[in-house]
Amino acid sequence: MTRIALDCIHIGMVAATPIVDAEGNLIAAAGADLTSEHVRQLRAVGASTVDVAMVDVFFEPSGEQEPPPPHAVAQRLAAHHVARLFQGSDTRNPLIHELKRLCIARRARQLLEAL
Amino acid sequence: MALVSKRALLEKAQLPTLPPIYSQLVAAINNPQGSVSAISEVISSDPALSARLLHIANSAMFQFRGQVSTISAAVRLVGTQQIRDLSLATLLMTLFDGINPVLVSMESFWRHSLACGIAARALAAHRREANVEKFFVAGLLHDLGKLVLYMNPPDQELLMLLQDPARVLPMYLIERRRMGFDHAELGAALLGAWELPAVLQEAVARHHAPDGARDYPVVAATVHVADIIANSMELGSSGEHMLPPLAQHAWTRIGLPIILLETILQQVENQFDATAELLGPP
Repeated sequence: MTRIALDCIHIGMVAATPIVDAEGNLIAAAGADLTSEHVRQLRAVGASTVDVAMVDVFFEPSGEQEPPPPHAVAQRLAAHHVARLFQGSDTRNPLIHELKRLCIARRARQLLEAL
Repeated sequence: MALVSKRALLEKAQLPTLPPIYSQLVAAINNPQGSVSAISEVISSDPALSARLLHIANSAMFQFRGQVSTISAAVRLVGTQQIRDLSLATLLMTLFDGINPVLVSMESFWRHSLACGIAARALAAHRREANVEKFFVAGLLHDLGKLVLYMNPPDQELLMLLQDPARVLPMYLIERRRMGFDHAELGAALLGAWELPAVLQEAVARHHAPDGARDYPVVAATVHVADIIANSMELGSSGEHMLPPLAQHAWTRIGLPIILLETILQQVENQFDATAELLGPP
């Protein structure tokens, strides 16, 4: 879990803890994928930071000078997200394997469009 | 284990009944002396259904855009079986009210059902099935048994097990362990009580175990795969956190090449919003 500034939130990051407003109303549950609507609500209630999980997906130490390009980040986030969805499936099955590949591509496309 | 019977659960639940217009429509369609005008007359007695069917007949779902101005034209052009199935889909979308939103978001539930129906119809169209709307309705209905469970849960512990975000088993396995049957069988029992066709009953009953389907194995296998596709696309949710497992022979039974999967996902994506707008609650 890492606390990061609201301005640095990327769509698709995962809330590490429940996010509530000053009155205790739930904005995002722990484990929720953060959306542009979440970010809008967080701005509206004056939040400045959010505790997120999976930051390693973005900032994995690689020794690279340049940050990874957006499509690579989207692809890795998408793969992580879809892996959870397929965790009970036999991905050696050709149909499931292809479905998983298509879902990762679709999710990565959605993430890039949302950025 | 808390075993209850399907019959007891159905009897105890305050279940909605199908509007009488549906049975009147089925009777008019099945009447050997019936006519298009008699069928149209039944549909026309329900202005909301008439408007919705005209909207659907003129939509991108069919190739008659803007040309269908009367119910009788819709019946002639779309076909009586498809009109019957589309009427059922339209009537069903407004039937289940009053379920605690903490248990399930009805909007999300119907979005998942709709995605499954559209995926089933796309698979059936690639198989060149004659009545693809039958597959659509089977997909739309596949998880109806979950609504019965939510309306009248047999015990609170089952609800908590189903709601647990950390659970790793699909809902139907938890239900079987807890009750001795699952939402698929419960949904089929409800369709039986509504006297809906046997093909829909078996497709719903077997959507998690299509290899055991006896009379309509292709429809059952199609809804089974469509459910997996709908879950993978995350268009709504009926409560699953992960994909249901693929039955061993389902894809072979459907008989389509895997390379078509990309086209099918694209078709679901393209048709989803328009179909939701056509069939969604008024």
